Amino acid sequence: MDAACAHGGAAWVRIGPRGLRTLTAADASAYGPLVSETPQAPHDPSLEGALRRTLQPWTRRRVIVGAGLAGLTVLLGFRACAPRVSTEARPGLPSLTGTQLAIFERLFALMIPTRLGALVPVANVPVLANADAAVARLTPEVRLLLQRAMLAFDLGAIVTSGEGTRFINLGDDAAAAYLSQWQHGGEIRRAAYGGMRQVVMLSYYSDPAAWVPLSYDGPVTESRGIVRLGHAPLPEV
Amino acid sequence: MNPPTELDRHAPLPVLDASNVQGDLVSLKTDVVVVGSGAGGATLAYELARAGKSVIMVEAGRYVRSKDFSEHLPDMFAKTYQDGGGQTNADGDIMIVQGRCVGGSTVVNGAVCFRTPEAALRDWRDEFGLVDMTTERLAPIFEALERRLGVHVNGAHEISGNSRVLLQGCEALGWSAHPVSRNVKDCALSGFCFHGCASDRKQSALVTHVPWAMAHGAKVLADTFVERVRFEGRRAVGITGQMRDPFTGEIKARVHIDAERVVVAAGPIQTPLLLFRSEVKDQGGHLGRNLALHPSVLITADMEQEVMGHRGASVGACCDAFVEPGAGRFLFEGGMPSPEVLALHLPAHGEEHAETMLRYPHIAATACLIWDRNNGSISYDGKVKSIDYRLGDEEKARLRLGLAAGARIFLAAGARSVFLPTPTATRIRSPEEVGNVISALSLDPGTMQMISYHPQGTCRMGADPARSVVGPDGAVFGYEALYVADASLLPTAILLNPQMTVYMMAARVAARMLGQ
Repeated sequence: MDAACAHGGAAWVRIGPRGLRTLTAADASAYGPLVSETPQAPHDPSLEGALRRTLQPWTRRRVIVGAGLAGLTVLLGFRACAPRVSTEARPGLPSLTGTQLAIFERLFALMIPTRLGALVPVANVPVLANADAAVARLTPEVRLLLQRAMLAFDLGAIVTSGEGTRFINLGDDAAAAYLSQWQHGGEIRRAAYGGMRQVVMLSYYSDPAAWVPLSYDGPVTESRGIVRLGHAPLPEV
Repeated sequence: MNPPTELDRHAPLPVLDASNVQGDLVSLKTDVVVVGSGAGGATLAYELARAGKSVIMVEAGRYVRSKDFSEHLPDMFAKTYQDGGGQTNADGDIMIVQGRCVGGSTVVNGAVCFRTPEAALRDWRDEFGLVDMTTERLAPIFEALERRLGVHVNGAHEISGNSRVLLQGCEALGWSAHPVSRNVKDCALSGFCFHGCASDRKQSALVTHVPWAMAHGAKVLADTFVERVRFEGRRAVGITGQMRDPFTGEIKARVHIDAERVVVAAGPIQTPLLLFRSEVKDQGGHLGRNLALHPSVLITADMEQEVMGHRGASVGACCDAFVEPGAGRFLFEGGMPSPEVLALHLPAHGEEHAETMLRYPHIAATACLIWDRNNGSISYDGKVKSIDYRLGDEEKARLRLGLAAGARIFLAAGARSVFLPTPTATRIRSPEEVGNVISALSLDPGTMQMISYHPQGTCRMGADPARSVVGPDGAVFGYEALYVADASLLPTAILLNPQMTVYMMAARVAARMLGQ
C-alpha cells in the first residue's frame, strides 16, 4: 500500500509505486520498527502536510524521470533559459534557491494582486522571508518535491508558454496565461500549481501584516485581557 | 482511600516530561497504566483514581499550558496536533485532525456535545449485542458528565454571525436548525476553540479530567511514545516506551511501567497501531479495520451582509434536518476558518481571489459532516502506518446531497456566491445552478478538500469475539488485563460529534474495571 503519512518531525520517506511512504527517524536502525510514530525534529507541519498531500503526484517515478529529462533537454538545448532576472541566492533567505526566489516573486504578484485593491501590498508583508522560513522547516523530501515541481514549472514555459522562455522571464500577461495553464492542466501540473499556491497563501495570509484589510482580529486573549480560569474545580459528581 | 488534594488552579500541572525528567530510565509501578490522555483516557483515569486506584497516564504529545496557546493555527498545529496537522489518508485527500498533547483532541475540538443518537445505539444493540446500551440506561452517565463538564445549550450571545447565517438559511427553507450544546463555561467568545482555548473556558480534559485525576493521585508522563504493551502469556503487565525531546527528537529516557492492568486510549488511529506493535491478534481479524472517518467538507459563502464570522463561539448552531436514516444522514455545523485556511477554499488566485478575500468580513462557512460506513482500515507494516480510506458510492451520493443542501442554505440566507471545496473552489451563484454544478463534480480521490475530525471504529466493541475486538466490558478479547477506551470502540459510526459518546464509553469501561 502506498501512503502519505506525515509525521511529527523530519520524516524519512521512500518512493513507493504509488507515492510517498514515511519511514522512521534517523536512528531507526537502532530501535527497529518501534520508532515510526516518534516525535522528531520540528518543522512547519501544517505546510508539510498540505504539500505532502498536494505534491503526491510528483513522487511518481515516471514524473521524476520525465521532469529530469525535460529539464536536461531544455538546459542543453535552449539559450532562452538564461534568466533575465536575478536568480542569485539572497542573504537572510538561506532556504530558497535563487531560482525559487525569482519564481515566488512572480507568483506572489500574480496570485495576490494587491496593486488595484485594498489588500496590503505584497511588498509590505515579509512574504519571501515567510516562504523561506516555511520551506526551511519542511522535511528534506517534501522540500525536494517542491523544488522539483518549481523547476519543472519554470523551465516548462520554454516549451509551452508560446514565448520560448522561462516563466521567470515572461511578461505579465504571458506569465498569467502560463500560470493558468498549470492551474487547469493535468494532474501533475495541477499538483505543482497547488503546492506553490499553498506556500504563497500561507506566507501572505498567516502574517499579521496582511490582516487589517480583512478585519481579521488575530489572537485576542492577551490583547483583550481575557482572564484565564485555570483548571476547573473538582466536581461533586 | 485518601481525599483528593485539589491542585493550584493556575499552576502548571506536575507533569513529568522531557523538560524535567531526571536520569535515563523512568521505571514505575502502578495499578493501571492508561495510554492516552484525551476524552477516553483522561475520563477513565479520573474514574479509577477517584475510586482509589493508582493510575499513570502516558501521553505521546506535549504538555502545553493554555498560556502557550498562541491562537495562531500554524503554531498550534505544531504544538498540539497529531503529525503537526499533516495526518492524512493514503490518498492524501482527507486531512485527519487529532490532538496530540495532554488532553488529546478535547484540547482542539469545537466543544460540541451530543449524546449518542438512538439510531446508533439501536445498531449497537441489535448487531453487536451491546444490550445495555439504551438511551434510558445511559442517561444517568450522560447527566453526570454534562454537569461535570459544563455542557449547556448555547445562549444567544454564543451564536456568532456565522452561525446566524446558518440559522437564517435553514429558517427560510423550513429546515430544522438550532443552537448546539457545548462544554464551555463562561465562554469568552474568542473564536479559537480549534486552536486550544487560551482562557480555559472550554472544559477540555486538559482543565478537567486530567487535573482532577491528578488531584486523586494520578501521574502523567508526556512526550512519551509507548512502543509496546508487555505481556506475560496473554496477560498485559505493563508498557515500555521512550520519552523524547519534542524539539530535537533526542531520547531523554526509556520508560518502563509495570501495571496490573493496561488501558489503551490513544485514539482510533494510534490505538490499533500500538496493538499491532504489541503483536496483539484478534480472533476475527478486525483490529485496525472498520475505520469510519466521518468526513466533512467546508462550504463557504460570500454574503451580502457583514458576518464577521471569526468572532464569537467557533460552533454556535447546527442544521440537523438530514441526520436521521432515510433523511440523508449529513449534518451542518457553523465554523469559520482563519484567513490562511480560507484562502485555500476561495477562488484560486488573481483579481477574483483578492476581491473575494477582501470580502472576509462577509464570508460565512459551514462544515458538512457525512455519515459513513466503516470501510476504512489502519495498517502497519512494521515501520509505517497507512490509513486506507476512500469514499464509497454511498458516501459520494451522501456528499452530493450535503453539498447541494449546504449551497441552498447559504443562497436562501442571501449569499451572492457559494464556494464548494474543490481545489479551485467551484462557485455557485443561484439555486438554479446547484443541481447541474454538483452533479458535474467527480468526487474521485483528490477532487475535494475534506477533513476528518472524528475517526472511529478500529477496535470495535461487541459481544461476539468473531466480529469485534473488544468485549462489552472494554477488555480485549483473548487477553487479560488489556482494555481499550476511546473512539475506536464505536461499533458503527455516529454522525453527531462523538465527544460525549467517548466520555460515556470510557466511564462505562472504568465502571466495569471497578466491578460495577
